Amino acid sequence: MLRVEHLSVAFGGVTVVDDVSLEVPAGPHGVGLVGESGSGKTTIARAILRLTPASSGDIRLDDVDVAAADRRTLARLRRRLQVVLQDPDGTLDPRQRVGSALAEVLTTHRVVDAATLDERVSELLGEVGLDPEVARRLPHQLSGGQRQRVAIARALALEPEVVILDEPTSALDVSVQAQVLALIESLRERRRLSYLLISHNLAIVERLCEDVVVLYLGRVVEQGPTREVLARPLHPYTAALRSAVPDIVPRPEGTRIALSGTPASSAHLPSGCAFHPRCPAATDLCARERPMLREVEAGRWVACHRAEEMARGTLTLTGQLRDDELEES
Amino acid sequence: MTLAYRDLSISFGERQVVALDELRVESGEILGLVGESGSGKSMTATAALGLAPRLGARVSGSIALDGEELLTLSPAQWAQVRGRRIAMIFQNPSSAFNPVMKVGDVFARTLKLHGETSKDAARERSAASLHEVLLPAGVLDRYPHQLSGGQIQRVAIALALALDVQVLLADEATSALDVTVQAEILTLLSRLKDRGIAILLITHDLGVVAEVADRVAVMQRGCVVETGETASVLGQPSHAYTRSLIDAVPRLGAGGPR
Repeated sequence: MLRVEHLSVAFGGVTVVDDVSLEVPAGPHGVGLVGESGSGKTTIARAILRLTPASSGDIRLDDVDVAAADRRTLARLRRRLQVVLQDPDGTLDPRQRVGSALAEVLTTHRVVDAATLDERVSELLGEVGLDPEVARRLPHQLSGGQRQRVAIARALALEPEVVILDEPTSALDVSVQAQVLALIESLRERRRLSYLLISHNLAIVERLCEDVVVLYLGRVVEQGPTREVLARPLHPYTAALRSAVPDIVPRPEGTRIALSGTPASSAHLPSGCAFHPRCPAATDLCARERPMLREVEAGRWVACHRAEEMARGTLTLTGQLRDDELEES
Repeated sequence: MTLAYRDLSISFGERQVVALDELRVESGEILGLVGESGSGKSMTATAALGLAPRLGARVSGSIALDGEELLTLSPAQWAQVRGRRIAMIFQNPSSAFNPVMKVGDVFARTLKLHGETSKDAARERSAASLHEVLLPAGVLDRYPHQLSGGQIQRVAIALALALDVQVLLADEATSALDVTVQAEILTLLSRLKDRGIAILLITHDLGVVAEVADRVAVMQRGCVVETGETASVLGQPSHAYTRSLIDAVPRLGAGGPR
């Protein structure tokens, strides 16, 4: 199990991740991390992978303290914790054949002996729906979807306990995306995968994740079971985010919660609740005091002064577009 | 005002990338042009700006703006159409702005290029256009990097408005934006449509089309395979490719892991 507790990350005095806690239980289980640009999603992933130092907080994979791990422990951890990125091209050597790339991972971590190496590479390719013949190809000879499958095969080669999927299908065409999503779904069951899925697409999170964490400017605004959170958001931001997703069947006129203005940045964090300048339900209190994340209903964590009203259904959110205000500069 | 394509063919060497029989966008409507990468949708838009030949493409057939043939225009005549009557906004607008030039200077220069000689009048017109996209006039004194992605996209739209364009080509104009910001831009595009501008909305996102397009044309390998009213094409697609695209879209409310 991956457990992140009170994680904060700062760059040059600017806190971009602020007191985030989450858990990815043993698989098959998915946790979605959603939020808009600048919300800190990818920084959280990088901190978990020890690619970015945490300023404070605790990251544990079962009993191992990730933040405190020395080089040897870290090398062993990398085996148990893998990542798939949005753009596989950034991680595939353009001059290395696919089979050799996969074999390299297996031999570096000494998980198979030389005799069974080719066989294992073929198996891995088969598992992600690729022909064993793909092993002889160079990355540029593959389509974007095939390259993403290779990236997934490489992440799975070491049989990790937790995989971080960072926007794994965002760069793909919709038909290819559908195939990769189906692949993740089937691997999830077969491999009993547990994963942290970073996505800006709520529909994908709903499909693949039992739990969801909604971030706004580095802070958790809402956290809980995906189905409940999306069916009945208790934070105005989650509600607005959900209502902004364009659907093939457009929602009835006037049911969208329009958000005005532009998301602030962590460098110019608004006072009180960071969301208050854009929030259709903001009060004076919201501008003054930062709401703490608290359990509003069983399993439902929300950081909003008006969460109880949201829960009772006595708060109606609408929202008219209004002129932007410019940040002081 | 109508932008009409007829028998348009665009080829690179032996390879034909666009083969359009007919496609029209009328004043006061949004036509969604959807398709996957390589379907030819962006090239179709680029051709309406006369820029396809610069990319090395051979263009034949007809593209007419209100009956006036565009493909036979001289470079000088193109300069009167491009940006002025037909404008394009892109996925990444910040690359279209000079980073060391204040937004106000971009407006002043563009308006001057198109005949506005008075500085005061140019500033007034710029501020009025910005107001239409819900931006304060203070934006004129900002550099592009001081604005967010959504704000820059709105500045690009305002620039087109300041020139009174008749046709707006929006190429994945909201794809790089966060959904809440995208929703705002889509609302603005609908308002522009109501002002009588013809909008060709190029996107891979069927949800975006469903939200704002009046009609939709589905492209596959350079051809339009299906076209019609948005609700009927998305509700009862008649072409197998359209159906497969619709089925591939992950939708909220479709259920979670079993």
